Amino acid sequence: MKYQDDNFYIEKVLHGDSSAYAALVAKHKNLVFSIALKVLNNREDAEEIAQDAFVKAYQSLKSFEKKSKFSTWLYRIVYNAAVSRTRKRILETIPMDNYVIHNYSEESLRPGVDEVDENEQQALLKYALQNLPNEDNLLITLFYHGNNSIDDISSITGLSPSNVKVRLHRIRKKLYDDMSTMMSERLN
Amino acid sequence: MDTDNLLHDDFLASLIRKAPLESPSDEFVGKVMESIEPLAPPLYEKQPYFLWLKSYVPYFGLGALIVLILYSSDIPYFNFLSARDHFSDMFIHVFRPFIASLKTLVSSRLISYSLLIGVSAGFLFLIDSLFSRRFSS
Repeated sequence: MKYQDDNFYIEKVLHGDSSAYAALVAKHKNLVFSIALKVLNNREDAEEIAQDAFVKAYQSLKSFEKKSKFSTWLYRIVYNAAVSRTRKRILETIPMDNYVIHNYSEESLRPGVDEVDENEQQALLKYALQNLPNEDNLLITLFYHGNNSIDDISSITGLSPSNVKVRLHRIRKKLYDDMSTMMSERLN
Repeated sequence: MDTDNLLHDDFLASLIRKAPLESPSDEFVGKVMESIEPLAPPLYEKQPYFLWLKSYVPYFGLGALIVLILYSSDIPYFNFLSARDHFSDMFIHVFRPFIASLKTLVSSRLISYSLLIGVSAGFLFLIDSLFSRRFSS
């Protein structure tokens, strides 16, 4: 289904058409649920938290000042709610000293992975994503699926933009490493 | 390759975006919609005219003061009003008792310094409170 811009539905809801909110829920439900699931690691809890986040966002819609995107605001609500449920902060700050951004070329990061067919690539990716900790999966979801900028992710998770960047580099490198390892194992 | 380009790896991005996200149950949207109450539509109350005018009084006052200063100054093209004829003499008559008492006050160095600091601080405070109220979100 093709959705309109979020502000279109928000204006309708603010003018009394609460049914327009259903479109916003349908549009963002998978990402909101995925965020909650990656923090909580339990489908039932994640669904409950995601529902609560949508209800809370609806009740606070009048105070939403549009300084950030609606989606960023919503993801922040669900992330905070999920973190409160687990009573721990899942994303720890990485000291910059512990991480060196190597001078890789893009090709050296994905040797051979782009040469296999798409189904094989998806299988390799699935394996690599399963190997990632939940918190890293969360950043991948926010960055690639949610199309959030580094600053948006920083605002959602409370990490500094430089830390988000460093973590994404590290995750990306790990994904390629795992995919390459898996591919070598399959070939041997 | 710089760090920003590394993050925007089209190959990995397209691969990840093709992988489906986790979905909640089919009843998810219905459950959310059951939990919400319709929001009251916004009320557009017309602001009384005098309230609207009142909010601009400081600006009118400031504008009038600037015009007064400009037109009674020695600046070319603005100096066709005589400050002495129009304002100073009139003010001197009205404020003579006040000026006389002020003269007594400022003859003391301690009082004049205190007044100077007090008036400056008061002025800064007024300007700050006026503009912070006006421009704060």
